[in-house]
Amino acid sequence: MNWRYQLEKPVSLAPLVSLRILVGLLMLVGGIRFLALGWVDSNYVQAKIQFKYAGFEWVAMPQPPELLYGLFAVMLLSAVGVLLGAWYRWSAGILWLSFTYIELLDVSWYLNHYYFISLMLGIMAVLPAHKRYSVDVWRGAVQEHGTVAAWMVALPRFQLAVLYVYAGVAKMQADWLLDAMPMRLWLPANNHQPVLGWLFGWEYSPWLFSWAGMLYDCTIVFWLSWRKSRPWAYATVLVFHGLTGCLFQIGMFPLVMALITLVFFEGQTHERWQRRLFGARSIASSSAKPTPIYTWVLLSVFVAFQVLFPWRFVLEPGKLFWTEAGYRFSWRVMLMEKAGTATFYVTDASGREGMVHNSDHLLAHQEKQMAFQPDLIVQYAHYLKDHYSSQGQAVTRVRAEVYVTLNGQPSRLYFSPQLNLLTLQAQGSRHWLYPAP
Amino acid sequence: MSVKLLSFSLVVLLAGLVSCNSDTGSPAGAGFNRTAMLGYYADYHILPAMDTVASNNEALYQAVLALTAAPSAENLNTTRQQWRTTYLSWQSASAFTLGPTGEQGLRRRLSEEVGTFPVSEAKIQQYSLAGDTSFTNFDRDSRGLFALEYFLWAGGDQIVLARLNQAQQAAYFRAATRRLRDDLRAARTGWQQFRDDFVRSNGTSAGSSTTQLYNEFLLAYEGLKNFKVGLPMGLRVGQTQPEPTKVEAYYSGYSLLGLAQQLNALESFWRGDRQAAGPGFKHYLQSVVGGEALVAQTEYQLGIIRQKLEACGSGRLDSLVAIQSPLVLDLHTELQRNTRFFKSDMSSLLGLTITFSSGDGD
Repeated sequence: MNWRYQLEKPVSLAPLVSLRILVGLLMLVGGIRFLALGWVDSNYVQAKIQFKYAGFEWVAMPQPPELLYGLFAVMLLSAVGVLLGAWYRWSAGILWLSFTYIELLDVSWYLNHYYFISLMLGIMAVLPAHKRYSVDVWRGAVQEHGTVAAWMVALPRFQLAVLYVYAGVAKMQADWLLDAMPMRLWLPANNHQPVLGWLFGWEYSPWLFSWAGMLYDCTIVFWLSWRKSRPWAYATVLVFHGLTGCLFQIGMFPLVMALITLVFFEGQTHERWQRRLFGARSIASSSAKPTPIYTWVLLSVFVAFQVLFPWRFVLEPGKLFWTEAGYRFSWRVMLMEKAGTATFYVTDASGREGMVHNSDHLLAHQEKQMAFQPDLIVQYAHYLKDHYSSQGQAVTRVRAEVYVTLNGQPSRLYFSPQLNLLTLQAQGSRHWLYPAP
Repeated sequence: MSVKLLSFSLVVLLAGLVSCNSDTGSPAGAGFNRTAMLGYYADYHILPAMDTVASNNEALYQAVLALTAAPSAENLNTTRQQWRTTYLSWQSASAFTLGPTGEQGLRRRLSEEVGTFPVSEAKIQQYSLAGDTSFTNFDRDSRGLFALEYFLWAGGDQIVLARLNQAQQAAYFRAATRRLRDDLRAARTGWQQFRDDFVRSNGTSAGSSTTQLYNEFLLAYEGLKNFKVGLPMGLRVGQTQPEPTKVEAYYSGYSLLGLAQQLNALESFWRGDRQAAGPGFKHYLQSVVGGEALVAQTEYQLGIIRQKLEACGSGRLDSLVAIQSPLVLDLHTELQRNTRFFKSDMSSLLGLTITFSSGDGD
């Protein structure tokens, strides 16, 4: 079959070797940065509550919480293993699991690019990226290879394509393209920037940036894949992510994208880079083993999941931005400006109602995220019941007055302030929300 | 592309990211001029407030020295007047707990050192009997403005004068006053030196002056609602009844006066109308899309709050609280209604973050 021949034909391993080194390096730098900023302590150890992901309620903070530093140490060590290609299968697997575990600790810290990195690490763990320029080759644990089946190089490129194209498709809506929202809120806040400040403050810039962002996301994978446009496309990648890095507090993300998109360059180009960096080594090309059928099945399931999962919101009633049912894991990156003010009230068996000071229980960041995400609101209500019950109060009702503002609209009541949130489940339907404004 | 060209591009990207993440940039670009706003806040709000409270407190310090040297009804009266002046001027300074008066400056938040209430009579007694005037502990409810208030009012004139005749008590009172003087002096000098750095940090990221100023304003507003009104009224979860002794300035009974003073200060801060016509946060809001509507809503609600506060009269807040007065409850309700305008709506329109450290977004 033609498609099978195309996917199995041997191609250069070099892009995967580069990817292995870059991903290892990024994880190492990213992990050290996280530690250096004190975020393990301020974001996790200090927190009194963790918001759970559906299906991953069992992921919990280690006890005592300081053990999380141990997990970070394991993660950093495995990142070095990946970078060097040392005990690669173990290193890559542990790196994937430890990073993902940390990400699953608290959904209030969810970021699309953390999800992307988790997927990338999972992909790296199944690919033989250690078969050249690695400690494993040097110590004789694996036989050196110059080629792999074509699908193995295509897989990380596919994952990048999913990220970009869905991020672009998500921008094809009236708020973004016609009203230039939320760019009209975000850009003027950057008019102090050196060199480009005037551009961010210019009145037509929000439309310029909105359209450029949509077109970039939708088409960049095509331009990167086409040999003739590739150098220019890569220069655009650097400019685009450089700009977003300037405008928004998105940490390592611009650097991650700038480095990982290098995987679109051809095998020959990567080989040339590696020869310069590590010296020339000739190698006998070997014929690849045929890919077993179960690999095809797993691969098809993964690809189908990646293509279909971001569309699940069409099955949910209500406006996506308002209900956020199906919002996460769908590459909706920097798409809306949403904020809420949430005040909770707890009633005990005597009928007396008291107001909750959120700062007694939540980090500022957790409160901010909780205040406009329905599942977190419900989780918090159940937490409050458990907390005050354990203090000897028979909690019968937890209600909340939540006002949400979306894309600069005046804030509105999110749901009835009389609703007893204890009657709801975090993962249940969101029919209890008022309709979107 | 060659390795060299590639490395060069990456270095350019990195350099760009590092340089543009610094929070100081061009003094004026298109759109709202945050530098001018920060200058206005420094020169018309923060520096004058720090200066006034420090000066008033110098006079209070002198009065306390005279009073403890010669406890008399006359000296007591003078000192009480001076305390009242200092207390009221503190209401205009308490929201500016950043820079030299934040955790980065004095290594402790000025608002907590000066304004913690209610104070613990037991701790004050314990430290004064032990002769411990080091103030190195974390018991902020054993010092500050309201510990001084305790010495000046608690128990009535006879008991106050009797207490001042006890050497240890008088010594602790003096020491607490000196400590307060030192803190407020340091705050004034600190802000005079910090002023230019404060104005220069004209960005909107998490550590910028605008974001910190906004967050402290919000914290002060929520503190007024939750701790000066809600807590004494017994509205917090877990409370079973009103707790009148938990009002601010319980001993002197100046609670409502102080409340009005702080609300004035916060309003005039938001409006940017103290002495000069801004530009303040209201003008900033008027410059962004959706801002006019929010300003109108906020002005309307602030008007209602003012009415509700005036309805509470000028008596003692703890007396109103004790009978669970609907007037105070109304005030709390209307303060609560305004919270979202200051909190989510304002931060959203201005692109400011409601966190003090910078997490990553995506």
